[in-house]
Amino acid sequence: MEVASVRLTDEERRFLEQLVAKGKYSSISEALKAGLYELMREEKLKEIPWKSRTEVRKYFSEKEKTLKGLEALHYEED
Amino acid sequence: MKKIKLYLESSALWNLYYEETGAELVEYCLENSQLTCISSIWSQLEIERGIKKRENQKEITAEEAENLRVFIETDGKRLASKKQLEIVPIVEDYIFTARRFIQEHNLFASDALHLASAVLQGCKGILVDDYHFKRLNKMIETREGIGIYPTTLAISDLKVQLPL
Repeated sequence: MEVASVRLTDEERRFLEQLVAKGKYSSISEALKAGLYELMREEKLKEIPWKSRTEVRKYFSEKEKTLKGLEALHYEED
Repeated sequence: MKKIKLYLESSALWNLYYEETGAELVEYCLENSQLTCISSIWSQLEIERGIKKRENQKEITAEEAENLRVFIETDGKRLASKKQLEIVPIVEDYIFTARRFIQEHNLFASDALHLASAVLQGCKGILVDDYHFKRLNKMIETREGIGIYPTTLAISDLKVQLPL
């Protein structure tokens, strides 16, 4: 994994430290990565061909389904 | 007026995005201001696996899987911010109760965790797809005091049963 230095203002650093203190993230590094992940997700969202759940369902309704629902996840021997 | 809590099992959430049936009732519940829809954070893992499995089986491409993943995650955050869906964490109480359900009702671990989350959150009902509906039977409804409704149920029937 790459290591990068990030310059932070006092306010930014305190904010990140508070998030860690609240237990939301295990470290400042993890908090920053979570923010980065959000940015990546926003960018990715621009490329997605659907704007609504209806559009998503319509798109996948044309697929030949090999599984039904999430049932196969629960297969266990009795 | 106090809202009625309704638990959306992961299969009900999955109906929102992928299946041809069941979405209408789930959409209705999310939009209904008399209801507070709740699900467990565990549902996120089950949905993640549901997507991966379809990718593994070549039912969808890797790109479609990634698009679906991003859409569902974003949509989940949108629903949460609009207070249409509350995602609850898994705490020790839920595990303890789920263990009891496995013993008493012979449930699978996942079903037991969903049922425990719903019961301990004070939900009046659980919305599940048809397959789960068959497994979470009437005996559980009676003993745990929680309604179990299939996502294919007519909206008018759900209104009567909750009641709304």
